[in-house]
Amino acid sequence: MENSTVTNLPLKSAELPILASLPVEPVSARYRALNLGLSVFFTLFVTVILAIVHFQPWFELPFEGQVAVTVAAIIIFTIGSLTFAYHFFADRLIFYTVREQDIILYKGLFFKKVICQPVLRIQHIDIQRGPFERYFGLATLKVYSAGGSDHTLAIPGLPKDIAERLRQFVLNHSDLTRD
Amino acid sequence: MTTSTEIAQSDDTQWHRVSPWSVIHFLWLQLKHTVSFAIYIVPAYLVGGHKLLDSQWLPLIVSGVALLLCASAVLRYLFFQFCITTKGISIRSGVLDRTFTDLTFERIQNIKFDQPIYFRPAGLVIVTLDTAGSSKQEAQFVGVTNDYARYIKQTVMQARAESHHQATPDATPTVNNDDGEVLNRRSMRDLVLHGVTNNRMWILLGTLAPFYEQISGFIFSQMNRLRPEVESWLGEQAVALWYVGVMTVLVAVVLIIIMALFSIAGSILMFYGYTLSKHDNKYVRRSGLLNRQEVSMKQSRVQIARQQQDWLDRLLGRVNLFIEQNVTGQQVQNELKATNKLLVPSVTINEADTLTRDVFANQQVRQAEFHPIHIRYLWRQCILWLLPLNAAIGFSLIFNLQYKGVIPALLFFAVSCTLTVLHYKRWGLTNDEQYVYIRKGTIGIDYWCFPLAKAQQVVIKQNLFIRRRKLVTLVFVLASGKVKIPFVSEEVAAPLVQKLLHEVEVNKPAWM
Repeated sequence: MENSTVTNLPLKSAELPILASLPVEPVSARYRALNLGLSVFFTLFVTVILAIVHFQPWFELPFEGQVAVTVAAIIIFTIGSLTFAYHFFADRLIFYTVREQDIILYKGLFFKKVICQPVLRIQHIDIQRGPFERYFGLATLKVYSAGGSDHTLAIPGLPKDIAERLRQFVLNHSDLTRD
Repeated sequence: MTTSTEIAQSDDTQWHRVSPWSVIHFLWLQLKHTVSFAIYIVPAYLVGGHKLLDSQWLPLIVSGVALLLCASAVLRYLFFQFCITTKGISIRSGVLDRTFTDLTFERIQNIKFDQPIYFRPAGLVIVTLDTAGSSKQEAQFVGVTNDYARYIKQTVMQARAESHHQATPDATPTVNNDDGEVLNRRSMRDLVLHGVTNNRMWILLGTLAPFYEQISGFIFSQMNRLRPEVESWLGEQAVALWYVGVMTVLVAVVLIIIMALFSIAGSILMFYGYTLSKHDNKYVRRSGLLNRQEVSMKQSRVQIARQQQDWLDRLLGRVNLFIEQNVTGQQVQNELKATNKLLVPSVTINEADTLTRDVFANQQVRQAEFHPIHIRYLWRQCILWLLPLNAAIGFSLIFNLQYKGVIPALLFFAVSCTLTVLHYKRWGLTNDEQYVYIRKGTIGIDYWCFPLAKAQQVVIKQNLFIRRRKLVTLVFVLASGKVKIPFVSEEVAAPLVQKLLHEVEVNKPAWM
């Protein structure tokens, strides 16, 4: 691609509110479902174990033990419901946009974050899939720049084929062969 | 990727050894290891080992260990071989674990020369080749002659220049003017200033010196006053602990003073005979009293220039200038030793400005008109820590000292308010066609300057409160680290982000 023909179409006016009025795509709804399911599952799992310990008929727990188990159950339940609430509201707010020259990620519930990664500056790119993500056919696309591992752009909850296509888009991008 | 054998076979070069003097270096390294190991062994021996081991064997064991160390140092020297080919450098090392390291010239980022004091008589240096990526991929030639070190450097530079632009013949360094153009030297006075300004604890304790007697008198009178209460609460044994505790704190203070003195000496050791010079578009820093160190940095690799000024620097009219390139690897290095940073210690403001202009042509960081950040930043600071801190301190002072506590509490309030306001006032952001400028600080003023073209990533953050006010926190990710500026109005941030993205994405400049 020649420099003179490089375009980056959706941006024209400097009066745009920062990168906010671009057309965006949400990540898969299954990602939210997965997170909600996982938080419910783990909370219940741990709570059930604690309940079994508390109510099992074989031996009497000392009083301190009973208190500890109850407190632990309350803490787990609180953390679990907070996680559930967070994913319930926040996962709907993850969007991304792929433009000709960059990838933009939007996320955050209370703290909104817009991360813009020019393709030119991408060092490498990979797709990560945990066991649960694999089961749901999802993938996380990770984009690394020279800015270091703290600033890896990760788009979670992409359907596998879309993640593959995005990766291919970046790999085929003419900018990646520069330098 | 070529392997060592490929590189070695590609043309018939022979394997070299470093100078036999390197045995001294290996011995020194192993001695350091042994001593740090002995710290654990000696107490164990004293506690229980001497019963198991007759002390008459001790000299024999010590001399045995010494012999082993010597032998392994000699072996390390014998087993270290390297060869330089047209493609890169291969190294064979290790006695039991044979390691083959291959460095192609393109991957070598940095060449550093060190001269430990024991290499000085023989005129030898240690050459460290830094590569991009992990810290493990680092090669060291211990004990090569100065000339050979320059030859290695020149070979690497030449090979890289050739591979980068094969068409431009003037890219190869033909006449090697070793010293280049000297940009800056630091005198002894500058270094003492630097030592002083960078160890603020020392100054603080120094100014308190006339009051030490009063302070310790006050401490002991307070302790005696509180003694009956402590005794009645905790019993007599606790009183002993109470005295021990206070004594520990005093000892700690003395230790801090000594440490500060050491670090002043350290800064002089580090920067003695400092010269910053420039040749072939490379900045070279040479300094050091005992260990001469040479660090070089390519101008095109520089990501950011930071002029840092603390309150003492401001009083003395000095600035520390940091010229930073990309961070290689993950390890956090000592700021003074790091090869990715070039520190010009305690320069005057004019010198700092001139040097920054040398790195980034036409930069205007000290002449620029800065956009202030929004006043809400000040309110946030007030709510988040200024008011809670003052409430806590004021309450505890007045509660403990009654009316006597009012004045210190007010004083603290005044000082912390002034500092917060100053800190808010210092924040500023602006840009021109080429660079982004940031101003920050509290009493001293820091000026940061980086080219739009070096940005790796842009992050825009907003929480719900500042979103409504159309404010953002901007984070620019550079290869040297991130640069963050809070509470910028969208009117300033939006055009800047657009401009930066345009510069990076349309003009497609290289960042290395």
